[in-house]
Amino acid sequence: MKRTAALKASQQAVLEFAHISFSYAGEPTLEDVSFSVQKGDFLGIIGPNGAGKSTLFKIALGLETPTTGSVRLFGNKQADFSNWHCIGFVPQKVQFDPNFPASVFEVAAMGLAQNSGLMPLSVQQKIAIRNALHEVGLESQASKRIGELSGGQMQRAFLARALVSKPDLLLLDEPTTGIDSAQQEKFCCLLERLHKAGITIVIISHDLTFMSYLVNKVICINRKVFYCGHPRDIAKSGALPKAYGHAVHSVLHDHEHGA
Amino acid sequence: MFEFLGYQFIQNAFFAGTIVAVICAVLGLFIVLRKLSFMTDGIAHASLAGIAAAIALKIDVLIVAGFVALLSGLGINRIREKMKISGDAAIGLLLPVGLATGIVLLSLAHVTSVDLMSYLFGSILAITSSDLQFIAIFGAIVIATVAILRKQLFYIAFDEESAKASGMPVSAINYIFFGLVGITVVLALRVAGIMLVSALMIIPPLAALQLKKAFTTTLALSAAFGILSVWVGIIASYYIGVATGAAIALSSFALFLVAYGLKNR
Repeated sequence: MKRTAALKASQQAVLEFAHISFSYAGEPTLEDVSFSVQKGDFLGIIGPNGAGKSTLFKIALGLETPTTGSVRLFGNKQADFSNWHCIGFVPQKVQFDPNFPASVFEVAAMGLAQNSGLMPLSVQQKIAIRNALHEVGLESQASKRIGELSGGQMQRAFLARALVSKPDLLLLDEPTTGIDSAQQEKFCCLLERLHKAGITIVIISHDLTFMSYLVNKVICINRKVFYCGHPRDIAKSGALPKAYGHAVHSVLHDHEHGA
Repeated sequence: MFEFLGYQFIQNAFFAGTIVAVICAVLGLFIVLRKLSFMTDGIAHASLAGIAAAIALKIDVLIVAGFVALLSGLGINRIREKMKISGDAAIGLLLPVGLATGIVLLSLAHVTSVDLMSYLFGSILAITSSDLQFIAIFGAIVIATVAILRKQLFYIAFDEESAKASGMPVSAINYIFFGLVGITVVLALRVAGIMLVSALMIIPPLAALQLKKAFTTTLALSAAFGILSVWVGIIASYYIGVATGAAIALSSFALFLVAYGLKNR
């Protein structure tokens, strides 16, 4: 029932930032940032280090409070939003002890941990976890400890954790940082598949080339929004040197995405 | 050989020790995974203020020390969250305050060292039936709460920020967790004492972690190591004639060495 309500609301915008400003220790990180993510978008956020990209996610997820402005999730004010299972989040780098006693299955199951209770995982929940691990290609690694996985496999395990609650919106913060190109390519294919399956995706990345292969809309920020549109047009818009403060050379893939 | 099990005080010791071993080992695993091992000692030392006040005022030590330990646990979390001070520094801030308050109260009340010894090093063989009832009731509350919140506690121990981002009420769960640690430390005082409480809360989880199993298995192993430490400690202290709290602490360390040996086999 709640899910249907969220989906109805999503016919407007699934994520909306309106005039967001934010400061860290008096230093402005974001100034009057406004944009929205529509259902079916595959949106990339680019910008130099310290541009405020991750802060946008933190504000959307309620981890930080903006100085001014507001966020709406599936049409609801962020503070009133309660259908958190509709959102999957993969952080930039999960800091954990490699000896942490968690199997890949247990990490994926964390995606269902919002509700407390005495009962063990139900059969349906176990199936959902297996399906999420199958989706990211880690079903055979389910009983392995998370610390035994490679960097790319670990990111896929965290993606499985985000997918297990069957989200409508995925927020990915530099998910391919520190992963080799073969693993990056696998990750790209996986994201394309998820997008085609109907999940709205917002991804932060430094890698413009990687981004241009994937997304159908790109936002370039450095405290403010410098560009918002199709990745094909960003080079000729002149936004990149303005946002980065220097010339940016990258191979931008030019193709149309079906939204 | 086991005729000593017929004594009421030995039975009380086994029952109380087993309950305390389980709750200490279960909560202790979350403490170790959150890198807050020092917290156990911090709360135990801070509870000296409660023990001193109870002895001076001639009121129930477990209740007053329990109240102080609960406040200490909640206080540590409050300092972590609101003052943005790391967990170990927050513990370091509260520990000397509790200890010093306890010493001042003891000095003012002219309490003898004999009164204190049982709280410093434990007195599991002196546990009465009413102590056992107290430990059983609060032990059941701690275990039931952990059982209900285990998935969230596991997620928070692994990745607190993602747990918050998933909409989980992390702050409220942290207050409950730190409060449970406070209660558990006081329940463990009669078994191991202020000085040795970490033998029950930290060493069994560390031993279990050596075996590199998944979380659920590690949790069960941690509780098993805790129970074994208490049982071996009580039996050894009876036959060798040494202090029981110390025997439990040493048997706990011996089990850790065995687990470490198994890992490196």
